[in-house]
Amino acid sequence: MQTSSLSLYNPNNLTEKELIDRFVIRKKEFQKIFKDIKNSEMKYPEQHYIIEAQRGYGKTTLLKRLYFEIKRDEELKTRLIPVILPEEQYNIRKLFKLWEVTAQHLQMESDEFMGLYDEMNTHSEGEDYEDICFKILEQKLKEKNKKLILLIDNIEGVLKKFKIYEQQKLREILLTSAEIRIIGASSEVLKFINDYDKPFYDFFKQITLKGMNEEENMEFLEKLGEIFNKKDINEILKSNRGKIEALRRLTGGVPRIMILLFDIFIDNSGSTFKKLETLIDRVTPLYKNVMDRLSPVQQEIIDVIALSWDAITTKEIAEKIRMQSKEVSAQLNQLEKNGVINKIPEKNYMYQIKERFFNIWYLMRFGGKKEKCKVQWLVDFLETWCSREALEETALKFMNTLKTKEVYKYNLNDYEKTDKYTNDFITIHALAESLLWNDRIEESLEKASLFLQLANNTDKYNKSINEYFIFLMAKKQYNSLYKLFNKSEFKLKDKFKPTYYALMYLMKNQNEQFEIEYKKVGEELEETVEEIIEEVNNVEQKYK
Amino acid sequence: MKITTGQAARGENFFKRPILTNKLWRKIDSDSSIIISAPRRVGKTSLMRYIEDNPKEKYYVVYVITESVYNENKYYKEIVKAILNCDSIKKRDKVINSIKDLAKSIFKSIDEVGIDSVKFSKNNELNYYEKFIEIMKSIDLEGHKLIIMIDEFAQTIENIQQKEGNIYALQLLQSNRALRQNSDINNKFQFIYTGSISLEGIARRMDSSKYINDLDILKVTPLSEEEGKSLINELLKGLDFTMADNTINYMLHKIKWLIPFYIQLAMDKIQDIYDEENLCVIYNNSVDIAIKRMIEENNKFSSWYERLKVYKNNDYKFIIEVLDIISITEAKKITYNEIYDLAVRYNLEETYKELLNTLIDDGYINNEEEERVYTFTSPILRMWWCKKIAN
Repeated sequence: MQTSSLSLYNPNNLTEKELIDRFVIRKKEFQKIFKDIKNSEMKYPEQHYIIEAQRGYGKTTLLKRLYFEIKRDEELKTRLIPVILPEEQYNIRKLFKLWEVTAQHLQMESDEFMGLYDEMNTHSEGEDYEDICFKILEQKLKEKNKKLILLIDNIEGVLKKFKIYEQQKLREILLTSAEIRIIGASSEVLKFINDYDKPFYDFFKQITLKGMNEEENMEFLEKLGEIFNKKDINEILKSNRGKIEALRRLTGGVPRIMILLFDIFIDNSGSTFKKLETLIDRVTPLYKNVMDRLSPVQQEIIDVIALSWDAITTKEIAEKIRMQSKEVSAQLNQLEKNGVINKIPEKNYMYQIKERFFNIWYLMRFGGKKEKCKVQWLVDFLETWCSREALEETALKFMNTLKTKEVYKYNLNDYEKTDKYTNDFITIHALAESLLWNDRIEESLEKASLFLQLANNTDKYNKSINEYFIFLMAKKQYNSLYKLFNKSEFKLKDKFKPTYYALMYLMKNQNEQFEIEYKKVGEELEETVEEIIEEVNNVEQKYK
Repeated sequence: MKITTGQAARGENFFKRPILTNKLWRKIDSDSSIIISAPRRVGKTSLMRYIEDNPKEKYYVVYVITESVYNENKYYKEIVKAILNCDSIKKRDKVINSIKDLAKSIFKSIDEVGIDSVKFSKNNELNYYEKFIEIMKSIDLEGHKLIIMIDEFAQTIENIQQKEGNIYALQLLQSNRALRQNSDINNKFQFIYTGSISLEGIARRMDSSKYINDLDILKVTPLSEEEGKSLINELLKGLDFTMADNTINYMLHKIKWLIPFYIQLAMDKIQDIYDEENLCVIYNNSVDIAIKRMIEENNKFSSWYERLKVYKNNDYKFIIEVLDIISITEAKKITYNEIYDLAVRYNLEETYKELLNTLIDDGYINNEEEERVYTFTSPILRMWWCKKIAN
C-alpha cells in the first residue's frame, strides 16, 4: 500500500503544531467535548465520554487534539493534567495495570508525579492492590491539586480484557471519584454500552463520528493540497468535482480513505473507475486482514452477502451455501457482534456488509465480470449525478428542454411527423418526454421501450434515460416504471440503482414487498436516493 | 446548570426538589432505615448525593456503592472502609481521633492507619460484620447520627445469589436486618438503600419480603409540570438557544412522565440540533425531532425491556403481551377486563395482580386517569416499545 500521504497524516507522527494546524474536520465534535471540559469544575464526578467510529474516521486525531488543547489552555493547565494512552495497550489486562500505566504516563507528563509508580509498586503484595493503586493515584492528584483527564484510545480493547468485577469496580470509581474523567475512543462500543447485562450499559456519553459530507471533504482535500504544497489544488478539485463526490459517496467519506484518494487524484488522470481500481489496490492489505480473521464458514457467508451487495435474508444465504438456516443464523449473530455485518430488522432479518466500501472492495476483488460491471455502472451514475448543476439550475435546464407547454406541443407535432421513420435515440427519447409531458402516458411508455432498446448496448444515454425516469415518477407512474425496471434484458436495476431505490421509497406505502425492498438500500446510496426523491418532488412542483 | 444525562447530577447541576428532600429528611428524623424506591433514571442516586453533600446538623453521611461486591464479608468491609474514610467525619478532630484509636485496637492487623489509605493485611481476613458492630459500639459520634447510604444494594444481593447461591443472598438480607434491630447500636446509624434494581422486587422473588418490612419506603415521584418548566429554564441559562413558554409546554406535554432524565435527554438532543443547524430559537418541530431521536437511541430504553427478562415462562409472556397491546392498539390502553382475560389464557388467575402491581411500581404503566384502564406511564416509552418491541 502506498502510504506517503497517509503516513504524513498519521496523527502519531505529527508534532503538536502540525496536528493543530491540520485539524480541519471534526471541529464540532471537538468543540462540544472541549467546551464541556472547560465548563466542568470537576468538583463532583463528571460525565465520561466515548468517541465512536469505524477505523480511519479520525478518533485518534480528535483525542490528540483534545490532549494538546487542554495542555495549551492557560486556565485549564493549572487545574487539569491530561494523559493519553495510545491505541496499543497490550499490557493492560487488569484494572491495577491501568492505574500503573497511568502513573507512568503522569510521571512523564510532569515532575510533580515522580515516584508515583514506585509508590504503588511497594504495595503490590497487599490485598486489594487495585484499590490501593487507585487510592494512591487519587491522593496524589488531590495533593497536587490536579484533576486527571484520561484519554484512552481503543478503550474497548482495554475494557474487554477486564473481568466483570473489575468493570464494576471501575464503574464505581468513575461514579464516585471527582479526580478523574475518561474520554475514550472506540470502534466497537456496542458490546459495552448497549448491552444491558454489562456494567457500562448506558454509562458513557457517546459521540459518534460520521463520514465527511461534501463540504467537509472539500475543505479536507484543500488542506491536504496546502500541506503537500499542491498549488493547483483548487483547480484540480474544481475540475474533478463530480468524480471526487462520486468516490466520496462510495467510500463513505472516511478521512483515511480520502487521504489515499488525494494521492490518486494528484497522480493520475484516468477515469473515475480507474481511480477506484487504484484505490482498491491500496486498501487491499487493510481489508484482506478483515477477511483473514474470519473462520472459513464466516468467509463463505461474507462472500454471499458481499456479492449480493444489497441486503439479503438468512434463508437466501443458507440456500446459496447449502447450510441449515439455524447454523447460518448463529454465524450471522457472531459476525454482527464483531461489527462485520448489519442486521436490518424485518419479519425475516436481512443482512448487509456494515462497512460499505469493504463491500465494494470485495465486489471488485472477488466478483466476476458481472459484479464489476455493476460497480462501474454505479460509479458512472454517481459521477454523472454529482456533476449535475445545483438543483435549481437542473430544474431550469429541464424546463428549457421541455420549453413551455405550448412550445412542447409544437415540438410534439414536429416529432410526430418524423417518428415513423426514425431510429434515433435522441429523437425518440425527446418524443417520449413530450408525450409524458402532455399526459399521453401510454404512448410515452411505448416510446420508452423503444429508446431503451436502442440504448441497450451503450451507456452513453444513461443520463437522459434517468431524466425520463425522474419525470415518470414526477407524473406518479410508479407501477409503469417498476415494470420497466423488471424487464431483465435492460438491466435497469443495476444501471440505475439509486433511482430504483428512490422508486421503492415512493412505492413503499403501496405494498409491504416494496417497503422491504427499500430497506435493502446500502448506506452508500442513501444520500443520492434522497436527492433523487427531492428532484422528483421539484419536477412535480415545477410542472404541475 | 449543565445538561446531565449519564452521571448523577450533583452540586449546581442537581435540580433541587425541596418537597422531596424534606420528605426524605422527615423519614430520616423518624429514625427509620429507608428504601429509596423508583424506576431507573428517576434520580435516586442524585437525591442521595444531595443529602450527602448537604447534610443536616447532627448527621454524618456516608455513601457506599457495592455494585462490584460478591460476598457478605466484602460488603461489610466496604462499609467499614467508607466509615473510616468518611469526609464529614474527618472534619471532626475528636471523632477522627476516636476512629484512629478504634482502628488501632480493633484492627490489630492494620499496619497503617492513614485514614485515606487503610490497608488490610492479607493473612488475617477479619469478620467485618463483627467489626462493624464493634465500631458502632465504641465510636463517639458526639451526638451525631451516621447515615449509611448503600447504592446498588439489590445488585449486591443478586451478585451473591448468582455466585454463592440463594442462602448466602438471604443471609445478607438477614444480617442487614439484624443490624437495624440491634438495640445496642441502632441509635447511632441508619441505612438508606437504593439501586437500579428494585429491592422490593428481588425480596419478593426470593420470598423474603419479611426481611425488609421494617424499612420505610420513599417513592421518588416524577416532577410536577411547574418543576419541569423550572428545570428547563435552569438548563436554558447555560445554553446558547432559547425556547418560548409554549414550546416548553409542548415538550413537557410530549414527555408527560416528567422524570428529570427524560427532560435532560430531550434537552441534550435539542442541543445537538442547535449544533447542527445553528438555530437560536427552538420551536416545536425541533422538539419533535429531538423526541424522535431519543426513541431511536435504543440503549436509553432497552433496559425497560431487558429487565423484564427476570420473569419466566407464562409470567413473562403475560407481561410482554400486556405491554404490546397497550403500545399497539389505537386507544393506547388496556382495560382491566382484557387483562383478566389474558391472565386466564396464561393460567395466572392467582398471581396476575402481583405482576400487574410490579408493572405499576416499576413505572411501566398506571391507571391514574381511569380506574380500570391502564396506559403507559411515559408516552415516550410507549412509542419506543411500539417501534422496537411490539413490532
